[in-house]
Amino acid sequence: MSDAERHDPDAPEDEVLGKAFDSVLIGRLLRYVRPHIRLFVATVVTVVSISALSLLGPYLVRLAIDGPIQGAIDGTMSASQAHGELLWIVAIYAIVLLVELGGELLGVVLTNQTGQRIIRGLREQLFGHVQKMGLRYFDRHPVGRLVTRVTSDVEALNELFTSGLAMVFQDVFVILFITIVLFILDVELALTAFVVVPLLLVVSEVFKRRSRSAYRDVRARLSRMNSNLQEVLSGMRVVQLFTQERRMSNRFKDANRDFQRANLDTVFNYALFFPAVEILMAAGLAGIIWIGGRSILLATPGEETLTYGILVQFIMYLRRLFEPIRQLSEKYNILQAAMAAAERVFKVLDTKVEVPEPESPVALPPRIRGAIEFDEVTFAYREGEPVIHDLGFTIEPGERVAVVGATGAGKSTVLNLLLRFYDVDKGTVRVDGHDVRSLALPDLRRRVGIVLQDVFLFSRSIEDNLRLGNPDITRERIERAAGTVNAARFIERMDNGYESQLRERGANLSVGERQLLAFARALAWDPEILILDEATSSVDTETEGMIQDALHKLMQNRTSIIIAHRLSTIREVDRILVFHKGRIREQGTHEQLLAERGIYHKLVQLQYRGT
Amino acid sequence: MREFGTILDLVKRHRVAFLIGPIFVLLTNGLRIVAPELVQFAIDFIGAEGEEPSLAGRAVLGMADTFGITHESATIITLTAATILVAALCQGVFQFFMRYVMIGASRRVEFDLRQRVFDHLQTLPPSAFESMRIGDVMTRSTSDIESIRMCVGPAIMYLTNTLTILPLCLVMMFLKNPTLALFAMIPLALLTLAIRLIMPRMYKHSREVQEQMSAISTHAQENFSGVRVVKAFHREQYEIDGFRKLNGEYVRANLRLAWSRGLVNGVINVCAGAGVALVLWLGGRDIVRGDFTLGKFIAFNQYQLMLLWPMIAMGWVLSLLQRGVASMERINEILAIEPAIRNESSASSEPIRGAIEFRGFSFSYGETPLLQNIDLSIPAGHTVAIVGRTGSGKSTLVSVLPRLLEVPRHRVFIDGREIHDIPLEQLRSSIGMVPQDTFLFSDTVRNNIAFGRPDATDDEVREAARIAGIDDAIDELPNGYEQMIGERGVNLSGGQKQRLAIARAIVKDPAILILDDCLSAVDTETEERILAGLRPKMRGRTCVVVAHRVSTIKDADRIVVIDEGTIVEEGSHDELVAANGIYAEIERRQKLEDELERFG
Ligand SMILES: Nc1ncnc2c1ncn2[C@@H]1O[C@H](COP(=O)(O)OP(=O)(O)OP(=O)(O)O)[C@@H](O)[C@H]1O
Ligand SMILES: Nc1ncnc2c1ncn2[C@@H]1O[C@H](COP(=O)(O)OP(=O)(O)OP(=O)(O)O)[C@@H](O)[C@H]1O
Ligand SMILES: [Mg+2]
Repeated sequence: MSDAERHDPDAPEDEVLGKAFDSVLIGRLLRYVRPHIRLFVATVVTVVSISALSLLGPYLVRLAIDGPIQGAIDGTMSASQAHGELLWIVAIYAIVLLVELGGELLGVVLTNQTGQRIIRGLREQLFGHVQKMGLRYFDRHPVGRLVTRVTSDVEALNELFTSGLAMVFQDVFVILFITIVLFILDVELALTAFVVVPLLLVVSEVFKRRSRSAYRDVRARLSRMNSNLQEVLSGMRVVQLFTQERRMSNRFKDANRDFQRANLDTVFNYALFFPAVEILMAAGLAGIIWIGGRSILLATPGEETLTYGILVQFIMYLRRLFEPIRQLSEKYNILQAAMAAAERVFKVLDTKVEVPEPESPVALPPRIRGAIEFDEVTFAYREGEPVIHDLGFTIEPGERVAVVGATGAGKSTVLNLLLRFYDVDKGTVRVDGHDVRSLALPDLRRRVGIVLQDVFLFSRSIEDNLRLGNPDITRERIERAAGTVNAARFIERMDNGYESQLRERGANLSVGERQLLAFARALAWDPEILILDEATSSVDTETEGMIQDALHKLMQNRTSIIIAHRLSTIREVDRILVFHKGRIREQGTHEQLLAERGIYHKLVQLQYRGT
Repeated sequence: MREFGTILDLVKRHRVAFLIGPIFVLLTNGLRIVAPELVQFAIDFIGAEGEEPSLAGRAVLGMADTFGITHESATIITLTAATILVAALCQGVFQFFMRYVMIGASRRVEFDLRQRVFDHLQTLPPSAFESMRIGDVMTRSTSDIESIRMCVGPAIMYLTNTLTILPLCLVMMFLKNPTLALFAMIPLALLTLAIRLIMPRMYKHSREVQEQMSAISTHAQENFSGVRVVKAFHREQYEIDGFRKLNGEYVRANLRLAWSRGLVNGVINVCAGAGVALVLWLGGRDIVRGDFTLGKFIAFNQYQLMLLWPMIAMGWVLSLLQRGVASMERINEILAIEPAIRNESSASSEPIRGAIEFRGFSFSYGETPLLQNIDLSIPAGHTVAIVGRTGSGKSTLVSVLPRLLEVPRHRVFIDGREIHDIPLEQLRSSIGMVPQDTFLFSDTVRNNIAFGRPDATDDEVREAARIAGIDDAIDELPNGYEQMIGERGVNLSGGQKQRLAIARAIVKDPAILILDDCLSAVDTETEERILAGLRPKMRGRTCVVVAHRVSTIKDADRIVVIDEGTIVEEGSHDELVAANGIYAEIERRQKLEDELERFG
């Protein structure tokens, strides 16, 4: 495994080589078009009619040349007659142009309307789906990558719908229409013009092949460069503390240079492709002049099949014919980007939610008793390495239980299972006698208020962080909760009090303050089961003492689970469970456990040795 | 355009490309006008009206003479067609170089600019990143740099293309029929005017679109990072609603942009068509009058068509430039942030021993002072513990030492030297700090531990892991030290993360070790092991420990209690307990001794 691959555990996901045309994917994408099919058809009709209209120009020029102009030259038409006719043609041209102006505007707006509507739905579906995923999914997929899914990838599809799909119809129409017209006008001349077409196909095929692999390189390297950047940005403090700026800079430079190299390959491809197409176009023109010119020259007077007007029309159409082909490369890229993006987006949408909602959930009563039962539970984050083994315990309604044990013993994992962040591998977790898997997720989680070990705050106001958009939580409740955990003191000292804006992850608060907010959040929700995972580990002893006094009342008749390393904080619980390597090794009250002289006794002794 | 001043030197670095590129553009376009001239010649030659042949026509006839070919019409036509082809081939070669040189140069400038932004970001103090969201910085260094590249590359290329082909075509047209050329220019002038009017709108809208995209990206980023909270409080629907709102805004911004874009496209097409129609009308009249030839008319037409794409490209270029200016502004905003914390000394000085002194040190984040007049001196080799209320400024105080925060001069001294006089790199590499909130990289366990010293041997890494009490846990991982750690350490327990961060600081072998509340998620037994392991390692080194747990700090040489911004107590554990102040109160609250005695 190369170094780079190791940095990117599931890199292949970003490197799927999208086929430019994958009928399955296209079919699936079209399903998103269906709800907007009316708008889509209207768009295609508009765009195609506009391009049909724009093809009228050369025809009008031909009419003018073969009609009044040639007539005047040949003397078959009087000057004033020719003038009049010319004026007519020009007048029609002017009208066509005006219609084209409106049509063009309408076309662009319609394509964008359609594209945006389709994409909007898709983006929301995608976000909603990711949101539903179990935590295992988030363990495996870096946030940056998931963000890419809902932003850049969806944008690539947007590009397909706004400038891709409708344009494809337009291009196909233009090519077909011009081909037919050319052949009707003059078969020999048309064949001459089309001699270059096989060559053109070869050129574009070569180009397609080359740009296919170049495109994959560009994508893969871009994504690697960005995840590198994202991580350095998030960990900047650590980078600077450890004076690794230069190493990080070099590492980034490598990624940056790789990206640049891949891009230069692409530049080379394009630099080759565009002139090649122009040369072929010139060859077509030369052919038309050659064959057409000779045909007009050598034709016996009176029997000419070819006129100057037709020749001009040919020359003008040739340009129009090559235009879509010249832009083929660009369209091809849009298509390929869209296919690769679609594949990744659908992969997300196809990922089953590991923690599925039950089909027919058991409805819990408005107030539950709060009994918790772990029945022979086994659980592993990584297959084959269980961190919880045949774990069994029950917590009575209203009981206050503490969980202690060495770090990594599996304490937080128990909470993850109770909240159904993960599903157990074996055994059952029950709340009030119901398997948690039979309860609707919001119904289950609504009953539980948790202070997670890793505090996360949003970059919103303090009030929003406590309320999290729940309209039932009044300002008063928020203030009461903040008061209970002694957070009111620092909140009120801040410039805007509860309206103060937090920075990303609460960076403008001290770590202890962040923890207090997370605590207040759990309390504001007034849950029936309260879970504190190291909820006061970074809080000073005095504040912790005050919280405990307040909690004493709050925990009355409320099932509570408290995980703590500072043993003084769990003195008041009804029972202590001592965890060791995913199993319960001791349990009982503080006094019972001390008397037992086991692990707990040792922990207490260590904490207060010699004082 | 002034915004681009910041990248002028990057452009200059590739000045050869930027000078040669336009030459290729000129050569390409010079050859481009060969075809219409020859078409004109061919058509009029076929007509054989005895017209004076054009310059190109005379050239072909001259060529026929040198090759000894007769002036018979059919062969002349063949020769003309062949010349068109040859000119196109040459043009193709120049065009290749034009693209390769100009677009290639833009990729090089992009590379340099991105690297400059990255390097600049690395010089900024952490506080700069608090006001700038990471999602936003990401957008700037990806899509904004891309739009700047589009300006420097394609935009310049198409601009020079338009600016060379336009006068060339105009001159050729003027030579054929000045009045007609004048009329053909009217729509072009109108086009420029219309675009000047629409562009500001487009500029505004495209900036809105970019900002809205940034908002979406930030929302998603924050939401996915905080997924545990969202789920624990079942706020999924609320978050989805928030996302939907932003998404709606984004769609609306895009549609506003679409209107101006559509308008631009329409105006361009109509102006181009109007030019053709005008020439058809006036030119046709002149032919009828006998003042103009069909060949010239067709050449005119060709020139107009030839101008079509450059004119459309002009509109595109203008929007690229608009977007580029917006992007450049956003990049400049980053580059303009002064790295408040700079290395101000290059004097290579003797190694740092680790004596720390604060003299009348005060600090505040906003208006209200946080720390006031702190006087604290820690002799080299001592262990000092800092305790105090949540938010009392302990982390702030210790962040000053590696200069993560900018501090006034003559307040903080290391080994008696003013802290600004010590080279920043030397200062930071002599300090091993375990910050309060742990950040791990999604790299292997080994690389995380050896982050500060990539050249550390396996033994050193293991030794650090042992001292940090994490060696057993690592050995239990399926790949041991080569195990990949998830983003921010998602697949580790809280205590494991903290201990990895401790090991990371130990490997650095620093003169000053700062532990900012980094044993909070560790159980007492492990804590005891870590402290015992650290003791021999830290012998002779300075150690600053911030903690709330008495068990962590009671063995320190000195304990400092901070309250209300000042040092209120100072002394050893026993002294402070005897003093019966704040510390004694803390100790009393955490005490379980009575019970121990009862059951011991
Ligand atoms: N998301 C995850 N993926 C893989 N392994 C994990 C994950 N989360 C935790 N683990 C592992 O599971 C074990 C138990 O972790 P858990 O977080 O439950 O410990 P803990 O008892 O809460 O420890 P601490 O006191 O340090 O918080 C640890 O060895 C940890 O490395
Ligand atoms: N970047 C910042 N911008 C503005 N205010 C800040 C910033 N960082 C911290 N603060 C404020 O400064 C005060 C001191 O913070 P600091 O992190 O130093 O506290 P602390 O003593 O370490 O607390 P804890 O025990 O919780 O870790 C807090 O009230 C906090 O809200
Ligand atoms: Mg702190």
